[in-house]
Amino acid sequence: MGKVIAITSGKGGVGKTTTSANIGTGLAELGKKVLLIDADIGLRNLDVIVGMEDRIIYDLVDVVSGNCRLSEAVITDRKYENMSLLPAAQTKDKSAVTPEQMAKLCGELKDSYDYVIIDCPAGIEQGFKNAVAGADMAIVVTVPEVSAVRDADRIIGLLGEGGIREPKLVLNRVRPEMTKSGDMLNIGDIKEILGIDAIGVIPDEAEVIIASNKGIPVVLNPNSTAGVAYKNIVKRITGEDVPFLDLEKKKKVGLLNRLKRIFA
Amino acid sequence: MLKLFSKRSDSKDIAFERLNRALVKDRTNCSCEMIEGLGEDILSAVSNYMEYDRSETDIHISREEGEENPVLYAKIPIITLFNESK
Repeated sequence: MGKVIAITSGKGGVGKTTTSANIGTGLAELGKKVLLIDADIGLRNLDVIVGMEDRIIYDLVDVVSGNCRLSEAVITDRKYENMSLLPAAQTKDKSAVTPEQMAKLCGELKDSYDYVIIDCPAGIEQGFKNAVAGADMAIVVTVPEVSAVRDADRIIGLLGEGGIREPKLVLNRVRPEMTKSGDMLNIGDIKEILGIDAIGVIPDEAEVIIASNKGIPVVLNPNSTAGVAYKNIVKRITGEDVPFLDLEKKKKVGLLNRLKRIFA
Repeated sequence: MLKLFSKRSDSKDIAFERLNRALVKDRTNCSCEMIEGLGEDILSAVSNYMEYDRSETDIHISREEGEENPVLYAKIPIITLFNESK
């Protein structure tokens, strides 16, 4: 029996899609059977982040409305055949899917996948409610800024009302030099404010943007601290107890690695 | 070294404070129904011990200057206290 995980945030632009892509790819790398669902109907993006945008024929709305079979809509990853994507419809809007349809679909998918990762739309309206309708657990992504943390708090409240208790926190785009100097909220601050447990802390790193340019998630780059941090999230999802990286300390190791790469 | 110390501005402490304050407000705003239910429960318990003026009751949560946490207020004007024999 698989697990359905909704990746959500409230505020847009904090890294939901990147987090969905990296968690999905990381789980696939561990040999798990993974389905990524892009639930951001009308504003699909997960396809470009995982580099599958050229191969879309059918989408989520086609599947739930019976226009095609699931197997016709899912696109299999070129590197990992145990990972597929069910893309969002681009020409329809959020009302094209109902929470009942999503819950039914997720229920069926759990029989054939180890993990179903749902990339939720931003906001707290219907699109969000549809996306989380079939989820067993949720991951709330935020960045260390007051507006994003405030929206995350709102989402945590709404998830609770929807029966998804104890969501896990991913703190994205942390700048260690700023947390160190006291100019950026750190993971301890944000855990205290939101009252939930963290499952990952991702440093703000050029490698993440480079990875998205290429359509190859950064979790596959062992030289990237962000990649390692995503890999640790994946391990925690599978139940492994992995200590958190010390990002403020890690900086020096990163420099050393860079030197090594220059001389290699 | 001195520069290192003087550079520390701790603007995150301001962010932390502001966020906490905003969230208390957000969270209490969101739970209007809860407060209504709580008010009914309090009044029904109180009615076992006294007769009160229902039109003058006021039950709400607010944040007070100098208090770290929000405070639950209940104003319930008493008409008569019931004696032991009730």
